[in-house]
Amino acid sequence: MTMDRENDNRDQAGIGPSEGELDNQALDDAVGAYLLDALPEPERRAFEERLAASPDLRAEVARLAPVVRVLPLSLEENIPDVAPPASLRERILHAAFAEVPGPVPITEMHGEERDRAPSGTPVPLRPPGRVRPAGGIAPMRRFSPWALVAAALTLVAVGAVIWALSLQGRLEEMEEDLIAVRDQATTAALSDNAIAWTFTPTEEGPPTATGNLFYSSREQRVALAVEGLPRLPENQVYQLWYLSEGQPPQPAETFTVGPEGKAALIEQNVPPGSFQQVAITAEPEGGSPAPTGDILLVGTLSAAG
Amino acid sequence: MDDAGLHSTDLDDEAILAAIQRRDHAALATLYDQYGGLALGLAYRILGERGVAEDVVQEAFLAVWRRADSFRAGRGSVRSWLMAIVHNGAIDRRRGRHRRELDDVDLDTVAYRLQTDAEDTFATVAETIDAEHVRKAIGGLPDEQRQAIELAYFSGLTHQEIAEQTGTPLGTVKSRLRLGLHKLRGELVEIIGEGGPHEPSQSPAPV
Repeated sequence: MTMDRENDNRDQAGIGPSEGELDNQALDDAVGAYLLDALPEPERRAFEERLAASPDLRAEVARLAPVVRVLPLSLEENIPDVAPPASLRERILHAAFAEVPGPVPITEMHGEERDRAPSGTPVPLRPPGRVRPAGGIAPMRRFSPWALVAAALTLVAVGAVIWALSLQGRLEEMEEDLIAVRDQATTAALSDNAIAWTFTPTEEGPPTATGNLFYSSREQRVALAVEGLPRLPENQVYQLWYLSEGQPPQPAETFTVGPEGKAALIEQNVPPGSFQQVAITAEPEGGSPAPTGDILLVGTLSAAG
Repeated sequence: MDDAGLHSTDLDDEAILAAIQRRDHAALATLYDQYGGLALGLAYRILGERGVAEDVVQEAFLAVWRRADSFRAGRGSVRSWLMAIVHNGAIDRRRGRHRRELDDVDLDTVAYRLQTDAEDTFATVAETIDAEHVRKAIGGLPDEQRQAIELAYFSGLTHQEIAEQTGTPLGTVKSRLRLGLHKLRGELVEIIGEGGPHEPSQSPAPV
């Protein structure tokens, strides 16, 4: 059938070559309408067929396309009362986050973990019992419980997390928290496009502990602020860990808490994409290359207040 | 190409795209902060309805997020890409042909808008010009060409609708759109002048 139709077309074109040329000329004349998206669908297709056959026409398209590309700029100061809303920003980021990272494929887990892995349904927020690593201790040679944490947190995040976006719209709310907990350096990290993780204690963690971690991609800086942490024995420190899907936890800074159980730290030069989730353990003084202690706090991308 | 002629936001855009390719959500936020207003302005201008315009903008940003890996330099800027997707989505909605699934909004869908001749320095320079230049260039068009282009691009009319609305023969509308774009290019080249060296002296295509 297709062949027949093509032959028909050729036949028709053959009847009057001048007619065909006229058609082509009419099509060529549509190049402006084509680039401006003013061609109805059948004509658009016809034009593209012609385009495929005509280098001259392709050159003209390439010549005019940059002109069309700059057209929207003329709107810039002309937008009728439609400042881009923070709510739309939040929707976009939330949707983007819901897509990436995906959950760890179940087949990559070991049997024991698979049994413990959360089902595909979104886990309710604040699931310290479920995100708790399997077993009390996470020995150095085994980081699989951490992988499980990452997987569980991913599901939590996908199911229930709403972005705490940087600052438009939410700044005031966040700042109230900040003032309560954070030093000025932490606040500075919020100045631009920081993403926030909220810490939740695990079953091993101090139930009163709270805190946030902020990451600014522009500053490439992590700022951590926690409170409600007990002071550790002399030879121990808290340590921050960066978790990424399918990778062992990466050691970050260590810290100690002040008399009121508060701590804040800044880590510079952290490239974007360095981690998806964060966690805090207690480690021997000086920190560990791989976690040896229980996960005390886990950080998920912040949920709505 | 002399980099000194490039506006600094250009480099910022590249950095933003690179970060998006690394799946950095904050970079997507930055992209929104940079172009969310422009994108929403365009969608709103075409659709005249806030809610639908926002949907179109959301789809466009998510398309960039999903397809960032397929974007290559030399196909215009990220801004151009984003705005082409917004325009495409808004026109689709306006014409009631919103049948594409989100995932189908990719580079190919708007590839015709991203066409560039690698040797055309104007294309590079054009990515760096500002709103004032564009407005001035549009202002330099003959009225009927400007009107036709605005009805097509900003109101989302087809050439037939433009013909009906302006009481002009269809062929004339097509010519106006084509001539208008050539003229606009000429105006822009004149305005940005030395920024676009080696501008071919070739006259507008025959009509």
